[in-house]
Parts: sequence; C-alpha cells; structure tokens
Amino acid sequence: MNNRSISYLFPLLVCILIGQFLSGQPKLGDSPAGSRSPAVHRIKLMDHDSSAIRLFKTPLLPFSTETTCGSCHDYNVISSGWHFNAGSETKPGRNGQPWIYSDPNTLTQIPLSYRDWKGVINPEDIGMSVFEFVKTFGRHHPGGSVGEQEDRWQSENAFRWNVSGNVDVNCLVCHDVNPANDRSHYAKQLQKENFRWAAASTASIADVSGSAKDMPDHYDIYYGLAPDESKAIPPQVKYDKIAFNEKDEVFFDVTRNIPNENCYFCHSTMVVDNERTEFWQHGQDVHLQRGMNCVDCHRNGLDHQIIRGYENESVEKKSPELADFTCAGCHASNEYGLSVSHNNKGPIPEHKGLPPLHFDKFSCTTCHSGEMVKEKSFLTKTSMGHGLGTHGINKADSTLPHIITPIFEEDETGKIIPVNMVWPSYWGWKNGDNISPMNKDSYTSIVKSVLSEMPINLNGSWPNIDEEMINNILISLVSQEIESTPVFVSGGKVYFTESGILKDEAHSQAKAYTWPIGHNVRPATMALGSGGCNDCHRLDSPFYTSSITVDSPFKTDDVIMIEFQSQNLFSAQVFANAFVFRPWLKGVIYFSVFIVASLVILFFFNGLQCWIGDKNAE
Amino acid sequence: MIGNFKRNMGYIFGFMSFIIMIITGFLPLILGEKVLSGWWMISHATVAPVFSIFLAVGALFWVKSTGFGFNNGSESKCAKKIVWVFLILFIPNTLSILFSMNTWFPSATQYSLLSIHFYTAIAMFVLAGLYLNFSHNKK
Repeated sequence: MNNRSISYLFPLLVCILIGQFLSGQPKLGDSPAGSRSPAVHRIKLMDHDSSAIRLFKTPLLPFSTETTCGSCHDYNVISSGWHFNAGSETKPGRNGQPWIYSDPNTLTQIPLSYRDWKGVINPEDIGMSVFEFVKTFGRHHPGGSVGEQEDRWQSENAFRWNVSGNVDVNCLVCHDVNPANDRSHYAKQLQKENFRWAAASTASIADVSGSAKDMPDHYDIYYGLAPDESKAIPPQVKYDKIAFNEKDEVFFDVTRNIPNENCYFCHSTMVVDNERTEFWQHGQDVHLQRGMNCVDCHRNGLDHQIIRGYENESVEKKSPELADFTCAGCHASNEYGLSVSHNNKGPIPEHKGLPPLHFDKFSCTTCHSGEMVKEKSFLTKTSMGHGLGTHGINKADSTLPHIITPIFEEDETGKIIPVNMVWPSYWGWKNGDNISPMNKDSYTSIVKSVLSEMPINLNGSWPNIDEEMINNILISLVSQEIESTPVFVSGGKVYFTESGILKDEAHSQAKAYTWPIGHNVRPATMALGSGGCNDCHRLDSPFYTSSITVDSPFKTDDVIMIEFQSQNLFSAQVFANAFVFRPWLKGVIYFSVFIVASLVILFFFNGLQCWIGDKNAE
Repeated sequence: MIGNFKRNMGYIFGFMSFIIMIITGFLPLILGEKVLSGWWMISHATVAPVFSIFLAVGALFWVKSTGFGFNNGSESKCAKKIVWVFLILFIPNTLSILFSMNTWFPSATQYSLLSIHFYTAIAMFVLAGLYLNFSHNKK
C-alpha cells in the first residue's frame, strides 16, 4: 500500500467512523428542544435515490417519504411501529380487524392477516402474493410492512416490483393536515401498481398519472419506454410549480397532533340499520364528542408503537405506563378515590346499584362500546373491510364482506366482551383433522363455471346457491389432490362430498373469526344497564337471546347470543325470573328485619330498664 | 302438643334454610370461585327470604317463651347471649345485601356492603355452632 492510496483511504475511513458515530445519534426532528409550537416543514423533496427533486430534472420522480421525511426522522425506527410491522416478528397481541378477501363469484370470504392472530389465514396460504396483497388491500394501509419487506416478495413478481417500486411508510396519511390531501388517490395508484408514486399522489402538490400496471417487465423509470414500444402512459408525476420556493422547498402542513378525520379514513365504521338510514342518525364516540382526539389515548413515541388501549396490553408489552391509557386508567379510582392514571383523569363513574360481580364478568366495553344490542344482530361496514372512502366500491348494504355486530363473547380470561364477527367461507383441503385453505387459482375457474348460470347479484352479496352446486364443485375438485379431501368451509360447518352426497360437520377451523370492539364508546345514559337491571336480566333480553346471523352462501339458521358465552339460557332466564318477584322477596326480608330489629330494640330497652331499676334499688 | 310440633318444625326448617344459606354462600368460594354467581347465587337468593321469615317468626316465639331477661327459661345464660348476638348480627347482614340491591350506593360502597355481609355471615355461622355446642352440653 503506497502513500497515495493511504491518502485516499484515510479520509474515507474517517468518514465511515463519523457516519457510524452519527448513526446512533437522534436525527434533527427526533430530538425536540421542548417547544410545543409545531415545527414548520418547509423542506426539500427527495426521491428514493436520495436526490433532491428539482423541477427542471427529467424524468421527474415522485418524492419518497423514506428519504424526504427520513432526512430528519429516523425512518427505521418509525417503520417498526404497529401500523407498519405486520409480517415481522412482532408479537401480534390481541386479535384485531383482519383484511377480508371476499368474492361472491367464488363464494369466498376469508379473514387474512400477516399477524399470528388465532383464526386468520396468511395471504400466502390462499396463493395471494405480497404484490397482489398490496394492490388489493394497500388502499387502507399506511405503507411499509410487507410492501417493503423484500425477503417476503415472491420471485415471480420480481420484475413487477422493479417497475412499481416498494411501498414506503406513508407519513402523510396520518400527519398531513392539508385538507387537500386526498387519501383515495393512494388507493387508486396502488391499483394501478404505481407503488412508488402512491404516497406522493395524495399530496396536493403532486399529480400522478399513468400506470405501472401497463408497463412491460423491463420498464425502467429513468429510461422510460422506447417510442414504438407501447402506447400506454408510463407512471409520471407533475408538481405544482407554485408550491416550490426559490430554494426548491415545499411546505408540508404536518402535525404531531393528528386530527380524527385522518384516522377515520382507515378506521370508519357504518352500521347497516333499516331504522337509521341517514348518516346523521348514527352517533359518534363520546370522547370525540367531548372534544378529545383519537391520539389523546392512542399515543406513541418515535417508535410509533401506538397504544391499542386494551386491558392486558401493559402486561403483554411489559410497560406498566400503558395501563394509564385503558378505560380504567382514566375512569377507575384507587382505594383513596384518586384516579389511577398518572396522565389523564376522566370522570370516575359511581355505577350506583351495580353489584361488583359485573366488573369481574365484563369489560368496560361490554356495557359502553359498540352498537346497543337489539333483537337481531347488525351488519357493519368498515373502511378496511369495504374500502370506505375510495372510488368505485359497491355501496350496497349487503355487499361482502359481511361483518356482524355486536356479539357478546367470552374471551380467554372468561370475561364477556363485545366483538365483531366474520364467518369464514373458503375452499380447502382436509387432511386428517386439519384443513388448509386452497390456492385460489385451484378453484376459481371451476367455481365460476358451475355458478356461471346464476344471475349477477348487483348488491354484492352471496348468490342464491343450493347444495347441488357445492356438491358439483367439490366433485370437480376431488381429482386435483389424491391425499386430501376438498371441502367447503362456510357458516361454521365443513361441507364435503361422500359417495356423491353432500355432507357437513362441525369443525373448529370453521368457527367465526372475532375481534374485540372498542368504539364507539356510548355515554353513560346509553350504556347497557342505564335502564336498570332489566336491560339484561329479563326473559327476552337481547343480551342473551339476540339472534346472530350465521353468514353463509347457504340459508342457515341464526344462533342466539348466549351460545357464545359459557352460561346456559335456562339459568339466565331463571335468574331473570327472580327479578319479577324481587320486590316481593325484598319486602319479605325487610319485614323480617323489622321484626328482629324491634325485638333487639325491646331487648335493649328491657336491659336499660333493669339497669335503671338496679340503680334505684341501690 | 300440636303447637309445640309446629314450633319445632318451624325451628327445624329455619335451621335447614340457614344451612342452605351457609352452603350456597361459602361453598363456591371454597371451591375457588371469586364471586357468587350462577346457580349458587340463584339458590342463595331464593332461600334468603325463607330463612329471614323463619328467623323472624322463630325469634318472636323464642322471646315469648324465654322473655328478654337471661334468668328465665330453660336455656343457659350463655346460649341466650349467643342468640341475641345472632339476632343483632342478622340486621347488618341482611341490610347490607338489601341496600346493595338498590341504586343508592356506588360500586365502591358496594364492595364494603359485600364485606359486611360476608363477615357477619361468618360470625353468624360461628355463633350457630357455639349455640349448638352450649345447648348440647346443657343436655
């Protein structure tokens, strides 16, 4: 090694060491001085190659949130957050809302997730590649996750990933408070496979056109297409020149205190109720009505490990401070009558007349959250399930997926909690006692050909099928696998063909998938029990007898609510009967107490008289 | 004779209802349940007014036969004192659970009422045992 090479190597080595040192330092935006005034984000846009975007450049590339926002905020730490870490090693915690793949033409309604929640199916198990998953469900996903976990990408999609780019964490979907930020554009761009352009398309300063989907596998974003290659429009972005100042900086109206409307894009629900057909007839969470924001409870630090707020979260995550952000954290008191929370203090409810037994048997959400239970369960539509807020969705009330609410179910601790429910419906292979879902390519053409004579169902719900159709489909599928039996899982049952006859049986894998309800929280005057004990403790109480739809392409009988709890209907109704005679029972006991108390008083007077008599005798 | 028979039957039924109250009240807790619920609670609540009325009527007849003093009647002074303490404890034991059945008190107070009911019930059970012991020894 001569002196010349040393003179090159030494500065390089120093730079590497400085870089290593600085990489452990917090970035500019992650070490605030303490001012509560928001930082003004007048910043340069950076593309995915970390080059500054200047309007004179050709081609103009979309800005990348990883490099633009990542200049001042540690992107790697942020992208490990709860919204972005599905598909990683993160513990899944309590069941949450799944992505639901539904297709009435193939009779499928499958709860999917990359998280290890009990009852969900991994998208790869039904033959859905990560690429297809991003296209289908990325509409209400904030980016990151499997969209940038390259080790999960299937090799057959490698070229398409090159054309589309990966899916950065979309910081703007939450943090951008510019009312011109259009999150529905994100969905549109993902469907066109414009992954790299999707985040930029939501910003008001950028307009994205073209489609990566129409580009050939060898398409390169720098070189574009040959003039005679294709008439399709490549994905491209145009920026609003006025938005750029003389330093090529743009202003992003971003905030740490995220407004509820941003959360609502992905977390809206709309209950289907024939008696409340107008939007204004549906209530809102009482906390939001009182002026709170979602992020007042669902907080996070730089790591974006957003607090989910359920009871055991502090134990599961070994962070006792998370207990402050549960219902009890604000609304329960310790033995001195003081709030248990170190952070937030809400009104402490007295729960007058409520026997403490209820706090052991129920969670707070049982009485206070979700829809008020009625004689029949409701269907509910959600942003994640039904694509609410995006263009081109089927707005019919009964469109798939069918999410049923509310159900009062016992969780693993024995507490009764309110949940949403979806009954999985899918084609699978049964081997022994285990059922594995079929790759959708295996059955799609067969099912569609059998159902091809059926009229098109415009409401997006199940077609009217009969058992013979299912039997025919299963018979056609038999030849595909020798060692396994083709089955149709639906409505809590498994259907299979035996000697040409359709049979069914119950199976644990056919059970409905449920996830707990936290919102909307109803005020105290609308809580279960606000009308007295008879809200639940009466013979026809919907808490026990509400009719729950067993959703399936077949016509199935409803079940009643109590079947999801461990107690039986007879004992509940016997106890409810006791409330009819309760005033009489109380009257008899009060009378008995009166008699005994009178005797005791007379006894004391007699003793007093004797004592006075003795004193006088002395 | 018939009157004595009826009275004795009343005492027996009253005692049996007390035993049922003790069993339905404490056995589930001994078996590991945190709170009284389900069929145990239904049985306990159903027998409670039966026990109460038997106790009240029984107490009336007992006072009528033995009087308020400790020197009258066939029972020992100790047994009589036990009975009076039992009757005194019956009042908070019953009122505590009756008050919790109304919307007068918050749940925090209901924990206290439940504790009163629990500990007075234990005391009444102990007193019943002592009374039987003293009555048996006297015989």
